[in-house]
This record gives sequence, structure tokens and C-alpha cells, in this order.
Amino acid sequence: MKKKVLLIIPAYNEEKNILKTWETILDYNQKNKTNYEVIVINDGSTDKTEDILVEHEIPHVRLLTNLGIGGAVQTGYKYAYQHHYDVAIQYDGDGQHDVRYIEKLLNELENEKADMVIGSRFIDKKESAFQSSAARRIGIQCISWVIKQKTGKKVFDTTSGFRAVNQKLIQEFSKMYPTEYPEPISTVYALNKKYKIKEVPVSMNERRGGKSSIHTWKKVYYMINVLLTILLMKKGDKYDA
Amino acid sequence: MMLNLRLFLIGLSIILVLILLRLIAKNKLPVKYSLFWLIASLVVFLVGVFPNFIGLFTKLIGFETASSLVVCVIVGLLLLITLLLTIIVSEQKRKLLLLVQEVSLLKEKIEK
Repeated sequence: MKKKVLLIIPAYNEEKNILKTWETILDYNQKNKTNYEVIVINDGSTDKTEDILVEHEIPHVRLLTNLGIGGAVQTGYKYAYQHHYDVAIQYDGDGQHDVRYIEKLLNELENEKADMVIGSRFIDKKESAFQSSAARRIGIQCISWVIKQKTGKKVFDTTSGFRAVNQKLIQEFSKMYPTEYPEPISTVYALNKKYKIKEVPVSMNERRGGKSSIHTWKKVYYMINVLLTILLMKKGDKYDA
Repeated sequence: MMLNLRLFLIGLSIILVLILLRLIAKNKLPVKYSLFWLIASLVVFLVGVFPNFIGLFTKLIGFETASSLVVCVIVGLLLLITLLLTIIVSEQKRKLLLLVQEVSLLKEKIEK
């Protein structure tokens, strides 16, 4: 039986990108006979994002107010859980992620019996043209090292927002998902609960427009918060960054 | 401790308690949150009434004067109250998040 796959696309003021992202997925579905379904989570956008979503009949949930990336993504997991999807994939609305790699994530999920598959920029350096800045890479490596010490598992691309999870983790995440710094924190959470995580090399593009959720002056603050949260997390702990 | 300071502390604590009782009576402040303030007022009141008591502590902790200990205690109390408020705010933030998510999902279901 074919698996029901849902792409969770959080969107905050993505009027420039969201339509292109949607069309790319539709196009891919048509050409490859795949049936990736989409739910856009409009995280209280103040621009024309909502108008575009309504006009083009893109399936979406409009959050009444801005919840931040973690709260938005969790809404997607709740939606996936309520509608009994087999696989949920976090996917960026700003063109960073490449729809062609989804199959790779799905295969890994299936073949390796993994609970979560992360699309990673750093496993295979040749695979990804876009590697992000040196400062950010050092930060990501730092988080990676701490996660390794804490859980014994090496995760290379700790901040990648391109990941697929199975039904078990959909349920976990719909109940509990960090509101802040969700990628590294939820990874540690899953590892602490003995879920199996795999990484596959993917290529990412530089974002087409819009801003990264991590601004320049907030980087140090981000690092301190993430590292401290990971260090303080205990096995089977409830957490809220 | 000077008599002036003692009277000031006693007066301060009494005014504070009166304000608190009024707020509780008007249903503007739940007893749960006022309890901490009431205890804080009691501490200030006791310091005013029994200065010898605090004099003992002043020497014990190593303060020069009783008045600086009083200031220190008040600052400590304020810090505790702020911490309490931070906890309450975080709790409410979490509840609000849940509420917004559930309502938004419901709206999506209805409007479809």
C-alpha cells in the first residue's frame, strides 16, 4: 500500500516564495506520479501570504497569531496526526529544499527502519553546493559535538529543517515539540526516547528571499540557548525551550 | 535600627496589606498570588517591630548596618516575586500556544 505523505510547510511572510514552492511540488507530483500532500502553516503572516494561499487553493492552516517556527511546525504534526498520515516531512517554504530529495528521505525511512531521516548538507560535501557560512558551520558542528556527547549519536546537520518522520514520531511531536530552536532540541528528544535517526546527504539552495529564522546578532544567543537546553535535557524529560 | 526606619517599615507593611486586602475583596487579585505578597509584608512588619532580631542577623551575615540588610531582604523578595512571575508567564505562553493551535486547526476543518 502506498504511504500517505504530508509535507509540512511553515510560512511566515513568504508571499514571494510560497506559490513557487507549491507549484514546484505540484509539478513534481505530476511528472513522477507521486502524491505528496501539502499543508502550509501560515504562522500569522502580515503580508499577502494568506491571500495567495486562498486564491490558489493551497491547503493550509492559518494560525490566529504568530507562534514562531516551533509552534507552527507542531501544528503541522497535529494535522498529520489527526489525518492519519504515515509520514510527515518538514519542508521550507522559501525554496531552500529540493523536492527531488524527498524520495531519498522516504526510502531511507523505509529501508533502514528509521523513525526520523534528516536531509543533511554535511555528510557528503559534494552533494550540496550550498554549505552556508563558515560561522554557521562551526556553530552546527558545535551543537553536533554536544549531541554526540549527550546521546552517543553523531548527527551532522543538526539545524537542518528538512526531515521526515514516521507515524510514531508524528504522534510524539504532536504532543510535545519545542517552541524554540526546534530542530536540534527535537532531535535530542527523539534520541533520548530511543528513536532511530538517519541522515542522508541532500543539496540545499540558498533561500530565494525572506530571512533566515536566525539573524546575525542572535547567533550567539541562539548557540548559548541551544547548548544549554541540550545539556540540561534528561532522558525521557519533558522539555520546553 | 533607628526609630524612623522602624516606623517606616511598619507603615509600609500595613499599607501594603491594606492594598492587598482591597484588591482581593474587589476580585482583582486571586488569593493564590497574593499569599506571597502577604508573607513579604509580614516579614517587613516583623523587621520593623523586632529590630533586635534583625540586628542579630546583621552581625551574623556580616552587614555593617541593619538598614542595608533590610534593603537586601527587600531586593531578595522582589527577585523571588519576579522569578515567580516568569514561571507564570511561561506557563501561560504554553497554554496560549496550545489554544491557538487547536483553534486554528478547528477553523481549518470548519472552513474546508
